[in-house]
Amino acid sequence: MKFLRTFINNIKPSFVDGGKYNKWFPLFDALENLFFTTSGKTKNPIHVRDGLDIQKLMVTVWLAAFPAMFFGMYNLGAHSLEYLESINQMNTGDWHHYLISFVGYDSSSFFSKMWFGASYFLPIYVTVFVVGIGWEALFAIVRKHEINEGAFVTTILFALTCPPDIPLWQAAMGITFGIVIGKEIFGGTGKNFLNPALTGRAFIYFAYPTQLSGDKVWIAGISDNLVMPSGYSGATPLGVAAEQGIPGLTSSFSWLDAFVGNIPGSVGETSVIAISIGLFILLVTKVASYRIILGTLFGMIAMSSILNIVGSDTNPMFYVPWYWHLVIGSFAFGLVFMATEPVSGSGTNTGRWIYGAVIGVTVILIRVVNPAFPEGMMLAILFANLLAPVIDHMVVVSNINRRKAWYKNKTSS
Amino acid sequence: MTIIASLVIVVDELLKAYDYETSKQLSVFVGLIITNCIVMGRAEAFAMKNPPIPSFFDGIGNGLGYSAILMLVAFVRELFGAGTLWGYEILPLVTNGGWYVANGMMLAPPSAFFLIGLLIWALRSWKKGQVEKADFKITKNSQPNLT
Repeated sequence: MKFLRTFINNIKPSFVDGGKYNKWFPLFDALENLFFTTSGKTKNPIHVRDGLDIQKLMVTVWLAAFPAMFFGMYNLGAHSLEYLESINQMNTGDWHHYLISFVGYDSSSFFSKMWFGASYFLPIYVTVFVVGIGWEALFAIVRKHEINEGAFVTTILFALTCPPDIPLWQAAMGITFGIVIGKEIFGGTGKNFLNPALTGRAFIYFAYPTQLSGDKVWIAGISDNLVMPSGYSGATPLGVAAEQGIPGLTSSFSWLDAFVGNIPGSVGETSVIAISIGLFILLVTKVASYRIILGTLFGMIAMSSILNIVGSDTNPMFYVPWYWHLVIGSFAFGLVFMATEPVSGSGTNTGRWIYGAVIGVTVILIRVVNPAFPEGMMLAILFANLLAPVIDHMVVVSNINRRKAWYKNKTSS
Repeated sequence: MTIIASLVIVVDELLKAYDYETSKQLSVFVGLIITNCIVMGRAEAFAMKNPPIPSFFDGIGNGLGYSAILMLVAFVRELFGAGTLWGYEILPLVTNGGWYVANGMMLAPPSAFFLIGLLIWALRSWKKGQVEKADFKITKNSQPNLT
C-alpha cells in the first residue's frame, strides 16, 4: 500500500493543472480512487448521513449482481452440457471449444459446469467491460468529467442480460449504444434519463432479433450444432408459455425449478433466489427503493389477475397467473437491478409507487396482449423511465396544491 | 412536427384497420402528408414575412436541404440495414452466404431519429454557432479544504 501511495503521489504532479498530462487527469483520478478513498473532510457541522458516494453505491450494486452471475454461469453450464451430452457431441462447434477443452465436457461434475459457464460468460463480460469503460474514459477525457463506477454497473448488468451464445461484436455494439446514446450524450452518469444497460440491450434486441430471441440462443451450442433431439426444446419458459399456455408450461418446467433458476434463459436472470440475495443487499444498504419494488409487484399482480379473470380463447398467455409471471423471463432481474436505478427512476416517494405500478402493468400488457414481443420487462422499464419525469412533476404539483389548499383553509378559518 | 407525425400515423393505422381498400389505394401518400406539412409549413412561415424573391430562394434552399438529409439518412439505413445501396449489394449478407449480419434496427423507423440526432450532434460540434445558450449554468463542485 505504501508503495502504491508513493507511486501515485509521484505521478500526481504531471496530471494536475499545469502538468504535462493534464488532459489525462480523469484516468489518473480513476486510478487513485480505485485504491484510495478521498481524504477530504468537511469542516462544518456534520450534514451528511453517511459517506455513501457514487463509488460506494455503484460498487454495492455491482457486488449485489454477483450471486446472479455465479448462479447464471453454473446454470448455463449445466443446461448446455446436458444438451451436448444428449446429442453425443463433445464440441460446442465454435471457438469456445478451445477454452472448454481445458476441463472437458463432463456433465456430472460441478467444476466443469462452472468452467463451461465461465468460458461463455466471461468473454462476454470482458468484451462489454473493456468497450464500456473505454467509451466512458474517452468521454471523460474529452468532456473533462470523472470516470465513475456507473459503467461498472452498466457493464455487468448488460452482460448478465445477454443470451450465452451472443456474438461478442454484438455485445460490444450494444454496450456502445447503451453508454454513448443512453448516457454520455446527455452528460454522463446522473443525467441519463434512460437506463443505459437496457438502452443497449433494447438496441441489439431490435437490431439482431435472430441472435437474441427464439428457442436456439438460450443454451450454448444449439445454434452451432443445430441438432434437436426429439422432445427437447431450448425455449425459455416464457417462450413456452406464449405458445402453449399454462399446460405446456407446467409440463416442461416446475414452478420450483423456475424459482431456483434451473431453466434456460439469459445468463443472469434465471434464478429468483440468487436475484433475491442481491435484492436483500440493495434493500439493507438502501440503494434500491422498496417503494419501486412493491409498486411493480402490485402492478404486476393486479394486471395479471385482471387478465386471468377476463380470459381469452385464442391467447393462452391470459391464463398465466402472477406467481408464474414472477419467476419466468427477466421480470425478477429487471425489477431488482434495472427498475430501481435511482437516476432514471422517479425521485419522489409517491412517484416511486406510481412508477413501479406503471412498470408492473406495462410488463404484463406487453407479455400477454402484444404478440410481437414475448418479453416485456425491458420495454416496460424503458417506457416507465420516459414517464418518470412527468410522474415526478405531477407529484410535486399536486403536493404544492394540497399544501396551498391546506394553508388557505387554515388562514381563513 | 412530432404532433403532425403522430396524428397522421394514427389516421393511417385507423385506415388500415377499418378501410383497408382505401388505405391500399392511398399507399404511401398518407405518410407523405407529414413531409408535405414540414416543408410547406416552413416555407409558408418564411414567405409570410418576406418578399417573394428571398422566399423563392428560401424555398429552394429548404427543399434541397431537406432532400439532402433524407438521402443521407436513407443511405446509412439502407447500407447497414440491408447491406445494399440503391438496390445493389454492397455488404454481402449472411443469409445470402456473405459475412454481414443485417442490422434490423436500421430498417425500423426509430433508427432515423437516432441518425438525425447524431447528425445534429455532429453539426453542432462542427459549427458551434448552432448551439443555443444554456438555460442555466452548473457551478463547479466546491472542493473540501484539505488542510
